[in-house]
Amino acid sequence: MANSSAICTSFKTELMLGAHQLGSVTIVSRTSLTSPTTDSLKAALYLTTGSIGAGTTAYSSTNEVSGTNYTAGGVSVTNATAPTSSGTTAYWTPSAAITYTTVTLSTAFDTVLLYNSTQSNRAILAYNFGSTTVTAGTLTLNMPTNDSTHALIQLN
Amino acid sequence: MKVFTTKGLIEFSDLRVQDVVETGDNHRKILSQYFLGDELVRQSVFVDALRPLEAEAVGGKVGG
Repeated sequence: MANSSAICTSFKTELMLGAHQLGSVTIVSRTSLTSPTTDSLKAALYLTTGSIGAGTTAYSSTNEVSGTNYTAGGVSVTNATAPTSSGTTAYWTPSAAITYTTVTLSTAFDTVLLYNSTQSNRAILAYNFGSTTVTAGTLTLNMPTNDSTHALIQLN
Repeated sequence: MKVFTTKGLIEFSDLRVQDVVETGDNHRKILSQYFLGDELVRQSVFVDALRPLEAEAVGGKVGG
């Protein structure tokens, strides 16, 4: 089974449980009612031999890439944009590109998994961008414009 | 200007650089490849996510 792009099904359920705080906080944040904080998100990369997709429920190191300057678990995702809506579409996008600096990842990989490292590493989404490798260079995952047409996550 | 490569820091002028653009159904990818002679000594990758991930509530309703 190959990697695929999807909003993780468990994430859809957890939205209704209030398990994620993306970019903005509410009074029902779990850690504190007086000074709540947003959750921290991370992005991990997976080999083409993985099976990351809609059925992924949490980060796992199985089939994760390894190489020079890559730390298991991946990198932090800038989570500064609050979810919003336009018309009947709610949407959210990370507020900055996801960057892996000066890495060497010699075994082909094709997918990034965004997950909530504050909430037990719960999976949010997988994005398959085609097989690639990086050699003593930088991998930059540019985010789309955060609007109701282009945002990375859209709930219609 | 020197560039970090698998051979250490190399003068940019000693390298041959080519960009390869690949387009998939949900992404555009630019591979910036740096060659020293015929050897690939650096490859950076830039990915643009082109297609959003959507969750659609088809016929969703609240209550009976």
